[in-house]
Amino acid sequence: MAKISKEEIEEIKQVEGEVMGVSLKEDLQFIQEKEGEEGLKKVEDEMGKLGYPLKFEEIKNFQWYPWYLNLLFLVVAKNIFQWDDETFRESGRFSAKVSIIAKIMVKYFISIRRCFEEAGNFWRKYYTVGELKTEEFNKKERFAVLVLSGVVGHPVFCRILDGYIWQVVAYVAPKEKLKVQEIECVFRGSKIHKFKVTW
Amino acid sequence: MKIKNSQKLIIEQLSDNLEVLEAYAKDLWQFFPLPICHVNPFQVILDANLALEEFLGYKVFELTGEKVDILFVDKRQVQKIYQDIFKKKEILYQEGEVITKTGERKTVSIAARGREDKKGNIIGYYLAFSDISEFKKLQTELEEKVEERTEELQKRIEELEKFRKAAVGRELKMVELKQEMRRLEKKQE
Repeated sequence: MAKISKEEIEEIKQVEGEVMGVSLKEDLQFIQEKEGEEGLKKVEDEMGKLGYPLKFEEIKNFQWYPWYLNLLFLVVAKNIFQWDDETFRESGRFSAKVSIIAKIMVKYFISIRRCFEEAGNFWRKYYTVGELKTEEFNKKERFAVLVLSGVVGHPVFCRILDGYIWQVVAYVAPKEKLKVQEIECVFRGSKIHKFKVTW
Repeated sequence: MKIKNSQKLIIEQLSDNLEVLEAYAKDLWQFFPLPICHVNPFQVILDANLALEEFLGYKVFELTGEKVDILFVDKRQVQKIYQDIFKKKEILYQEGEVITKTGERKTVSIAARGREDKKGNIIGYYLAFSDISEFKKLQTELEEKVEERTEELQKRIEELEKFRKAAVGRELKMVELKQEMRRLEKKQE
């Protein structure tokens, strides 16, 4: 079972900001899809034991929740199911497929440039902290650089974001050569999270 | 504090309204008994309904993000559909063949309608399928039966023709013989 130390829980609780309920639901839906109803129940039960009861059915899509709650159950899932980085990327891609916010936003992405222009807007639909912006967009060289500033998050979240960005860009760019790489990370000494996207 | 509380109340009410609206839109989308998907200008599926899930055997999230041509037997048809939408804005009753997750082929009647932005640019389209596999099967069976019957009829006609020729031939022969008899009778007289 999950063995999260009190220190780790306290560290996660320090994460500021709020997240839209849809984000929690997307991540819990992934757990349900990947690990079944039993898996989802294990996570819910463990969250209850840790003192942060969470029920998938009771989450409201358009209500704000503490971001640390989202990160906490992801870490619980990691510990219960021994998920690796690739599974969290898969979770990010899944979220971008099922997300009501993504469905609304990508309807208007008629070019890859527009996709990157809307990055900030996209972020603000989900979070009350931080800022995501496109630092560089080079259509000719087929790359873009996204910078997420003002947030710490958690390493699992970085992988989820990898996957989410990949899937959103995949709606408008050929995915055969599409890559997302975090080239700077708060957990590797930087002050920001920086993602390079190539296609 | 009073203002903050009333703002909080407004936000909560708006949030509840959004939930209701989202649930309504979701229910309506999932209700449609016709298999439908939403495709962007890059031919990527953005969304699909439950009916499409049941029709093709894929889960919606398995289709989302995939190129729409994975559904078609003839991949070129997708380009043709998109070109037609640009010209005519909508398509009705175009026949095609789709392929399910398990590899089964189904004949469908395709309908599509373009989505436009405020400037009138096509920013995607909705694609709907009607399963006409059974209808086509019946049509093929009927055509085969008609062909069979036509062949039978043709054979009968040929037989009758043979009989007619034989009968007419015999009649002519009898006329000839009668004429010969009269000639011989006259000669005798």
